[in-house]
Amino acid sequence: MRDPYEVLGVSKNASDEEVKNAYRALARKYHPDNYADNPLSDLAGEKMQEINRAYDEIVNMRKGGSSASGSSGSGATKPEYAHIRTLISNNMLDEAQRKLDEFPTNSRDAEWYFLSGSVLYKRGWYSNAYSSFATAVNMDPNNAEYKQALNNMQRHQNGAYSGPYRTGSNMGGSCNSCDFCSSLICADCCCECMGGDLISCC
Amino acid sequence: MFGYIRAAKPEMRIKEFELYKAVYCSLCKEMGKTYGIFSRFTLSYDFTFYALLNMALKPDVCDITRKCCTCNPIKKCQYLTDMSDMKMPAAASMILCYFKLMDNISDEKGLKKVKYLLAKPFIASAYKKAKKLYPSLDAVAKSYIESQNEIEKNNCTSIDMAAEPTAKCLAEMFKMLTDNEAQKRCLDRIGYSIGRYIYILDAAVDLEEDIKLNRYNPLKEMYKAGEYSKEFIAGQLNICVGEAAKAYELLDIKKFKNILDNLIYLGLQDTFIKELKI
Repeated sequence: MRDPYEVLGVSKNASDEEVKNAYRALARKYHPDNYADNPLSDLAGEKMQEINRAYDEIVNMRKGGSSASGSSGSGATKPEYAHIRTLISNNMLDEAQRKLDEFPTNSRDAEWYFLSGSVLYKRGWYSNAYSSFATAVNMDPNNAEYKQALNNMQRHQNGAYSGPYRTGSNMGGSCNSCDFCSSLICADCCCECMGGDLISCC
Repeated sequence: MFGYIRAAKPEMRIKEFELYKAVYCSLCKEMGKTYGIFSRFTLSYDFTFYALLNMALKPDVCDITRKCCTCNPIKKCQYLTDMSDMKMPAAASMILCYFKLMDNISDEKGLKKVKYLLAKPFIASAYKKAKKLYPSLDAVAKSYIESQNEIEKNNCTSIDMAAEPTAKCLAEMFKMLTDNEAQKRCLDRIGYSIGRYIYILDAAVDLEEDIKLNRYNPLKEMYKAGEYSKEFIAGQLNICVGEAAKAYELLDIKKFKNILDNLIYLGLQDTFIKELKI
């Protein structure tokens, strides 16, 4: 097994607080909700387990405390959909699509749209997947599972993935009054070096 | 291919930028060495990303040496000491470039066509060489072109369907970078999402010209119906990038992590904002 500190990306001397923060950040990143319906959800699950194990190990090593974990489940409401859900979670998309196509148009309910949205999403057909999820939510606005799926896509649509890298003001190119003043003072210094002056008072 | 996978340079550290450039220059050099001087002009940032990803999955460290730049003898450039990882990206670049050229020749008229026809013998001989070295890449590219032609012939108006050939092509190419099954699945998803991103962005950028010249474009129908907007495209592209990012997070990256983070989390978004002029 990998070194638990390496898994969490912290040094061995990190404080308990730092370890906890690193653990929380990773757990948020690989949380099952983020990968709901994603064809890679099993890999994300493994990663999550690895992170949980590493955190538990560090905590136990340090004092032998509590453990943390997170999971969410989803259940089929109608028996005829149970099989299709299994197909989808096993990534057998063609088969699932065929089964879904067998439903006559007038019997297609919210769950049907949700499931076909899941198939499309896994295929990478995000545009149609989005409309299917939206239809499902429209037909059954109280279902948390459908809402979650739609929310996930909406969050991305608004560009909410630029995670850890971007520094400072978020879209770049912006300039606040502080930057402006310090730039002016800088320019003034440069001018003075060359014998001129930009701001006469300083 | 299109040059839409670019880094967000202002957000890069100098050392990351130098490494990024070293990979770019090494790829350029490899292409010149194996496929002749003319092939150098076809290099794009997309394949620099491919080369970076190829190396990022391997654990060995990479050394850099300073040598004269072949394009500009006065300039000194940095190159990778070990060029073996550049071979496959260079071949992929030549193969896709050849198919793009053939497509341009059949699409264009007048002076532009003459320009492409003049380039053809050089590209074609490079293509033959690349095809011999990497027949699997050639097979992927061929099936991509065939399904793309099919889509255009049927005047497909679904973005999902129209983007599929490009997306599948990149997915297949990315999958070739590893033998590990779990990693393959991640690369498949990254390739698919980025391929889709490239296709939709390219369609949006070319839309007005395609309408004027009466060429195929999957967004045309939507434009005519008044449903087209840059915001819609931006939303679609953001979904692609978000999906690519999720799969990327599951990838076991051995090096170049900061550069790849920059490309995935910032570069892709910055590029489409610039290209679409939002």
